[in-house]
Amino acid sequence: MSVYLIRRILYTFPILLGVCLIIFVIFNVTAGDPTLVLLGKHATQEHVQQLRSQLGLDRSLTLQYLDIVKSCFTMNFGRSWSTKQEISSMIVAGMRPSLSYTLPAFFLSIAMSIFLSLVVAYFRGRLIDRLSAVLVVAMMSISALAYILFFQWFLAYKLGWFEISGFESGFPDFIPYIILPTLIYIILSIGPNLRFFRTVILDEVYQDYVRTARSKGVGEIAVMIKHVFKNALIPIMTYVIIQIPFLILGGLLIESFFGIPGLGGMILAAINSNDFPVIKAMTILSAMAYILFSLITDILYMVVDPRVKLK
Amino acid sequence: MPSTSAVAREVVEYYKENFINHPVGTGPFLLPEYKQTNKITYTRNPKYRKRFYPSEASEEFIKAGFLKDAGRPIPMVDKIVVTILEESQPRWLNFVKGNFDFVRLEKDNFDMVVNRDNLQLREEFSSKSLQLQSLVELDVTYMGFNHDLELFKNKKLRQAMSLAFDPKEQSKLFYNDFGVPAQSIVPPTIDGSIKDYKNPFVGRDLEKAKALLAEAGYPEGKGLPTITLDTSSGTDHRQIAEHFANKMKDIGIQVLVRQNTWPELQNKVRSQNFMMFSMAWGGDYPDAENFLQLLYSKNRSPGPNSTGYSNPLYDRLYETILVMNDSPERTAIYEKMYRIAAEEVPMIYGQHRRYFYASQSWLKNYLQNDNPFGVEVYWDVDLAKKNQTSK
Repeated sequence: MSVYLIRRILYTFPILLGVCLIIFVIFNVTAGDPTLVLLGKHATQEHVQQLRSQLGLDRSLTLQYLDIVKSCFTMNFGRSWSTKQEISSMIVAGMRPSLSYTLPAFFLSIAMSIFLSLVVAYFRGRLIDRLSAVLVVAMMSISALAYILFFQWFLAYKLGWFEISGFESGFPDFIPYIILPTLIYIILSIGPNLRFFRTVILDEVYQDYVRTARSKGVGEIAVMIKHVFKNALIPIMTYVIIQIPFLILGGLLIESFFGIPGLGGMILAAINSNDFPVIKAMTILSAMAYILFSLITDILYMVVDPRVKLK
Repeated sequence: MPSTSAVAREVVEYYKENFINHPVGTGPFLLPEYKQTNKITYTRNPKYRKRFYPSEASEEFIKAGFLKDAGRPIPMVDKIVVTILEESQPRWLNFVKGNFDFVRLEKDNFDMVVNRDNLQLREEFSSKSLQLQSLVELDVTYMGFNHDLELFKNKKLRQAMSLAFDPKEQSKLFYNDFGVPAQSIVPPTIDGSIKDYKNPFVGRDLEKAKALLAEAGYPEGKGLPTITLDTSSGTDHRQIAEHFANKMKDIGIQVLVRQNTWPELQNKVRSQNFMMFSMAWGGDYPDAENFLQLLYSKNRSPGPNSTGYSNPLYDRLYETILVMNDSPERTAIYEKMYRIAAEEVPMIYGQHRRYFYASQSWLKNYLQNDNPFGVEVYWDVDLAKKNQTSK
């Protein structure tokens, strides 16, 4: 396994270099010179030159590319153009608010989806299964924006059950502010989760080993949990783990509408203000997290299914 | 005036580029919480020098009750919380719920709140004792010509294009029908703009536009190259530019809209690498000079004269006013420059944007103005009224 791990880690380098190249082309080559934007309306030629040199834009393109590669290893992404803060500290500060609602929402949504998918798979082909399919499609057809707008207006404003927006740091002060975002996150993710989990569970339901278990007199509920669910775990795990990096990133729309100072809102603000260093940093981090969690998924395959050998 | 705020030299030297996150000053408020993209909290500075609410005001302000707090020490509130919310819905809902003291009304909920016929709050909101104010901003939107190009040295062509444009329709489509069509470069709220002045080349007049186009040497647009209009990215910017292009089509001028990222547009404009561009100028301070400088030839790019317009008479007048104090003589020169900027059509003027603000009845001494820096010290909250209204 260690050979496999080393090989996988080595594979990540060319991927990272490629990601850096794409980011470099987008932000350093095609996006244009940002100095005039940064200097505002009263820029002079002298100021432009000074800032270009300060930002390293007067250096060769190769050196600028290497700067991006270097930032992947040092985690030093420089400072935000709009807030002037260290981007790494902004990211650390933004992770907690994002995770405060995405983490509970994620676990609740996964637990509920697994339970419901086992139920509908158990009642496959019957009314409850068909109804759930219709409901899931209906839920997925409505855009995230519609859910946010409606729930914020109806549940928070009209009924006054939740805070309309805002966030307080520190436990338990933040709790009233995350209930509605958590609820919306669950509603948004439960549809696709349920659809996917039901499909993989049904794939297993008709396998020979399930028939064998039944013929041995194992009860249907035990078959579903001990045999079917266990074997469906590999695709479910892949699906679930790969979502984890995106929890840290938070929800762009949810954070923007609820005023949560997380990474999702930070990305949106960076996009709105052309804050390229922040956008660049978040793109690099997302790519790195994706690579890392893909590796974790592979390792976990072995834990879940001992037949899997990582060579 | 933010463009000339004093900052402590030691703070800049110590924090360097991060000094913006460590403000040090002698102002009326401290800044215990400063999350630039989310929430800013100000609390009263206990060491602030003794200052008092003004005791004199014009008749208009006295009548409006702005002198009720005359002589009281300022600032009057202990704490101000600025909540930064990107989206308009939560801003508005929080305001109506009483969580916010004032908000700017957005296009999305304007008609729900304000009756367009009389520009008053609708019954549902006026019964809650909300208040409404409107303000013509200290800005001007425009489409700039590149005056380095021989094509746009042709004044009649510029005038024809201006007359083919429809600023009223632009206001209706993009500014909630409350934009004030600009007659020249200076906003109507400051000295230097001429009251009730009507620019003969602003406002759609297709016949006159066509005649001027023919006089310019391009009858029905024949012989004119396709004009490229560079604008910023974003739906609104594209739609505004396309609206302009459609209007030009009516007199036979082909305009090609090209969208750019904001840095790209800035670079094109500053390097004079465009035919026309769409932009706005927001005032840095409430003086006509701040707008008139946009046409002074020695301010050409990367200075604020992005069009490269040059007019020796205008330049002489500008140099004259630079060394003058505020006086009727200076205002008279401002007005002369205002007329030149109008009739020479160095750019096609769009709007002075106008916004509406709603405030809670308990917020005292709140008045939107076009230079709203430092007014927070006069605000006060009538807590009894707030508690009563909230019930």
